[in-house]
Amino acid sequence: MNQHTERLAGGATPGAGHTGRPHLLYVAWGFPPCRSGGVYRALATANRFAARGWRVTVITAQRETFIRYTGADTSLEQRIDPSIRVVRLPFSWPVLEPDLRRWSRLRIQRPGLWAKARARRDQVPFPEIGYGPWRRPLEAAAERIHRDDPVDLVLSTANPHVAFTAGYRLHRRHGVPYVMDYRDAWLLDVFSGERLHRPNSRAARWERRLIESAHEVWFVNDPIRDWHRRLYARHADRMHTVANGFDPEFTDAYLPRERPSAEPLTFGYIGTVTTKVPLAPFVAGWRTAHERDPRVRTATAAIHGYLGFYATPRPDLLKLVEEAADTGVSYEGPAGKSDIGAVYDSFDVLLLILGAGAYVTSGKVFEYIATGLPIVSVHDPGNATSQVLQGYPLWFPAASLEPGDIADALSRAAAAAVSAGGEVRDQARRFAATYSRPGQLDPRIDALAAAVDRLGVAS
Amino acid sequence: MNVLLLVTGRALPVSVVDDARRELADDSLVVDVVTWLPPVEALDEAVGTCVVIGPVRAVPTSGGTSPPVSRTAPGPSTPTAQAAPARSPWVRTLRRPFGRARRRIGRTVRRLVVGGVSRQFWTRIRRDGEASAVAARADVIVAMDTGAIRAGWHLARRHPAAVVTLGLAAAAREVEQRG
Repeated sequence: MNQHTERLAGGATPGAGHTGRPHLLYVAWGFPPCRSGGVYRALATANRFAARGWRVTVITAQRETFIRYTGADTSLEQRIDPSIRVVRLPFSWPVLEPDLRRWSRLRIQRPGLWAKARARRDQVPFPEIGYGPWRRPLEAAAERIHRDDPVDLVLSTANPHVAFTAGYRLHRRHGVPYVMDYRDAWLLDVFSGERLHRPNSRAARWERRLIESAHEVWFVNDPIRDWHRRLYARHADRMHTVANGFDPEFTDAYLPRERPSAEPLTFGYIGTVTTKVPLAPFVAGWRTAHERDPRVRTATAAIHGYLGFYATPRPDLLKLVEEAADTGVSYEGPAGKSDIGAVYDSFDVLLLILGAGAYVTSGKVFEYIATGLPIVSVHDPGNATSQVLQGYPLWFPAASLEPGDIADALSRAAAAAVSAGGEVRDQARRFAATYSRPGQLDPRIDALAAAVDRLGVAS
Repeated sequence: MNVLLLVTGRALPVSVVDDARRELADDSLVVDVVTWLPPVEALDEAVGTCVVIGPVRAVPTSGGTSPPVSRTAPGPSTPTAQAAPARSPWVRTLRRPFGRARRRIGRTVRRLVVGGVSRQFWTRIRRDGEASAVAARADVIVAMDTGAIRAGWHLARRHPAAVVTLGLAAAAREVEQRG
């Protein structure tokens, strides 16, 4: 008998008492209206559990947090399943506070000292700068929710990793099983492949403790999962890959159209451009292709999304785009999820510009393949995304980040955009079908439902 | 509504003023600017008042750019110093580390005495009647870069009714919240 069973057998009957449907407590710091990249996975996961008959309670940060700091996409809130209960907790983020009245005298006079002191203070409750102080309100909220309506399973998505503490707390006190969902990694730098924290650091000790007690641990791709399997070999069997996949609503909203061959082509990028994204090599490659290829010369490249992590575009990235305006490159600002179909519809070729790393898979690659459009990969060939795209019939990877190689890929994709017939595009969309979000989530939800049943929950 | 932009980081282009109007969704708002460096182009029609408060104060006008005048620059009558006699290479090599150390010490002393741009910017605003007057009538004060934060913070304490933020996006949100 494992620990879960022992505790459940002797404790209160979990969520079964209410409706017979298991109760999932889902912890996601970034949940709509947050507009960060990970929010789509969080939204899809909560919605999918609800659709599969679970009662879902979500703990997230208050709306104001996203409006003030990360940028908000209010259209996403309408996509939350109405049966989901959302509990919003206060979250303060002093480092990003733009109201100067709220700044202390110390922060004004000794900004370096203030920043160091703040970082230390943040890490007292939990070793994560900025998010550590959320641990206590989060644990208190999880206890409150469990007391009012017993929880059968806690699923937390990170980062921030402080989200895992809610499940750990309910597990230790009440024997509730929990699942850790890593959208990234904690100890591994997915771009460089280096370790981020020493083996005896607080972060490493926390992760070890969390993984030892977790029921399952999810990762977004096989390379990251395998790295963790090597690190925690004893718990390798509980580690699974749940790729991001694309939302089925997306394929309903996106209606590919036939474009007259004489019309100038539009290359498009959708996503957050961070400093890790090789925007400068892309611009250089685009310029080379613009000089060489008449199809690219008349084409435009539209970048949709955020430049940097925050609502205000990073000046250095914006400058890069503006300097290439003479070759048809433009920054079009963020695209709301509800407008995404129309934005994709304006593209003839998709640009997949990603940071380097054997562990990096972009969430947007799944949406990209669902369109059936030609895709130009501008990233390190060793990027984990290449594994997903192997076999996609309209994939044009740049051999390297040299301008000549990027230009070649752009030219080949431009030619394909004009010549590829309906059959090739259908073949591309068929390839994508296995990567829908339900296709990725359902096997795990089934396994968790069975586990919750086995642990004593009457369904 | 009066908006005051505080800028220390880079010479101000007119597009920043347009950005302010766009972010705050008000084409008619009066934008004043207090800047450390002279703007790179004429702001005559774009802004109400432009106060250049750094050591180089020439403001371009729509008729053309007048040469910058430094407050600390020597006047034309300053006699030209005689060129120092050339030193042998090994003397220069010996002097180099000391020169570097001297410069570093000089910078540190200067920073301790007069402060960095951030402190100097605030000191000059406080002492400049025009800059203070512009700040006093502002409904919204926006520090456009990190060097302007200290001035913004002090102005927030002096003008409790004004919205004082770091960045235009935050200013737009605060204004919207206040209705």
